[in-house]
Amino acid sequence: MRVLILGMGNPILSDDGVGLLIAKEVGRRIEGVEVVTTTSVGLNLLDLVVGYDKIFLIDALTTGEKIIGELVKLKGGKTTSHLFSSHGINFFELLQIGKEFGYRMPEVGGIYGIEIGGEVSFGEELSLELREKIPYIIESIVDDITSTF
Amino acid sequence: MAKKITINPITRLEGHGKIEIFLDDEGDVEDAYWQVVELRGFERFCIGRPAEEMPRITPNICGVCPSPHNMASTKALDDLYSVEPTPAAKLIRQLHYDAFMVEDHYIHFFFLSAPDFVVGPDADPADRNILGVIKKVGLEIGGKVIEVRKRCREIIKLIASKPAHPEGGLPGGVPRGITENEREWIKETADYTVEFAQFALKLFKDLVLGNKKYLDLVLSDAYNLKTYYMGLVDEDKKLNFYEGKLRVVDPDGEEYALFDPKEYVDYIGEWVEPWTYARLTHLRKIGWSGLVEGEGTSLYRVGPLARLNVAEGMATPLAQKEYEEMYATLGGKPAHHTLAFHWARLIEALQAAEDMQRIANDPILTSKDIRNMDLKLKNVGIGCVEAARGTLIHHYETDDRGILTMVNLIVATQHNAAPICMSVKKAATGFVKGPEVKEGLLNMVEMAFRAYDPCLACATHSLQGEMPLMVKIRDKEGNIIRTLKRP
Repeated sequence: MRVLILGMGNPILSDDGVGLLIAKEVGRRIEGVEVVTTTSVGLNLLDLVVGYDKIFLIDALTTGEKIIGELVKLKGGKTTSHLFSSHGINFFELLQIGKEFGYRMPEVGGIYGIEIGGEVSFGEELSLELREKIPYIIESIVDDITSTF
Repeated sequence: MAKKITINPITRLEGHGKIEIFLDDEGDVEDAYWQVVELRGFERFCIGRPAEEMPRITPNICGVCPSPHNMASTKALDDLYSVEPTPAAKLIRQLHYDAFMVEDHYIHFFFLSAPDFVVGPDADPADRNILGVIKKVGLEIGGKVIEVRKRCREIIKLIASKPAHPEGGLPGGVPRGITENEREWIKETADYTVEFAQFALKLFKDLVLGNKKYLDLVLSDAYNLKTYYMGLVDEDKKLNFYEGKLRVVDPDGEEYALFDPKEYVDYIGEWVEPWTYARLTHLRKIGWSGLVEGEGTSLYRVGPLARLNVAEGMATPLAQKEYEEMYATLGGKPAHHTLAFHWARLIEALQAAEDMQRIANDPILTSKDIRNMDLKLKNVGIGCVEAARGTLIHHYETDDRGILTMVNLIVATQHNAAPICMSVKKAATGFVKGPEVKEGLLNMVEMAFRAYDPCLACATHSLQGEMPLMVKIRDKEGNIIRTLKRP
């Protein structure tokens, strides 16, 4: 079974890029999974996810209503920052379109959102507030993913 | 206080913005403003870095038009280091850029515009999306869109290492050349793309122009705005995406200015209004005259229709035929019909595809002379290209070590920001009256907005997720009397 851990975010928008860092770290701790990180959105994700059996997405969450660093496993209909920030297509439509065109599209094993607050600014480092919670976030996601195998 | 309708945010649009429509006591539209949420600090983020990093950094500003940022940045480095790319390097850059233009224009047309025209502006929002389009036009056509996009992305990947966010970008050249083997599949892709581009135009003409209701909509006053236009033209004043002079025509189509993009500060003024974070551009020599159209305006538009309006023709034969047909249908030049941006977009994609053919067959393409190393740092560099959405300018200043001391970017959505407000107002005036708002009518307002394909992320340097459409209607005291929401 091919499993993909997809980290999403923008590496020059400080906390917005948290999904990129977490995905790499989670991938290091679980044997047999592949990791891809991307700043892309929408249709551009198609090339990245085709051919996998299962996918886990890790992305920032900007509700502004949760504590910075709070980890949420999203259920149907809820979204993270970049899943719907598309040039006309959201991630779930993408999965559906892929299937209609006969591509091998993965089953979504989990979508993990990490709250970063309502505003982000340019920078290449995470905020101190978020950085402190990284080890806990990594551990929680690793436990959750491995429990599904 | 006037009644206020808020459409927040615009669905099927990159980034996060909102439209506020203010109604008077009679329930008629008084004003409309497009507001954006700005994320400040990009220029400050860049200062202190080596200028050579910019072609790698700027594509990350947004997820929608990375190649234009990469190319404008690379051209700004050419200027900064007083160097011209070799002929082969220039061809390779243009090939990358044509491939991007094709891909981007088709994503916009099939994924954003087609739901309105193919599925229908009054259709249920649940069906007014790409899946609805596929249902209507068939899986085979959808498959062709995906295929042409995939092939163009392979070209970008070959040249710039990553299609979504290109990394290549060197003053005076390109990081890698093209081999004869690669030329063969590039040729095949170019041929396939020209064929598809002709097919896409036929589809547009059959589905949109063949439907009187839609054609009337395109030609209606609600979607007509009389402004100046700006875009790059080559030395024959034909449309060019990559280089040339910036030409401005007035609302009657007469040439108002023709200048080297490096002189942009003499022609383009930036104005700040309290209701938006975007710096509103206008023709500096006329001066800011507010949100007015026609005689007395200092506003200009950029993007596909603007480029066709400023050019004296297309640079390739098949696209030229389509250009002539478009203006014959629209009643001559310039065309002020905002929804004709979609038509112009498809004609431009054909020119880009034909240009890919030209490049693929040029013997110089596979030359190994891909870098001019005669670099002389001169502290100021300005690069300009036509992004899919319109004129994009990168302006850098450095110290004597090439470290950035000033960065200024003028992006397409910024040029179009004020005209977008006016287009929304006109569409709202035609379709929204009082607090009784129907979904189909709101979409008419959104259609005015979407024609420009504005990229909020870029204008505001913000990346935000799409959220449900929300409409707030306020009474004259400002209280919300009704909230409409669609998931």
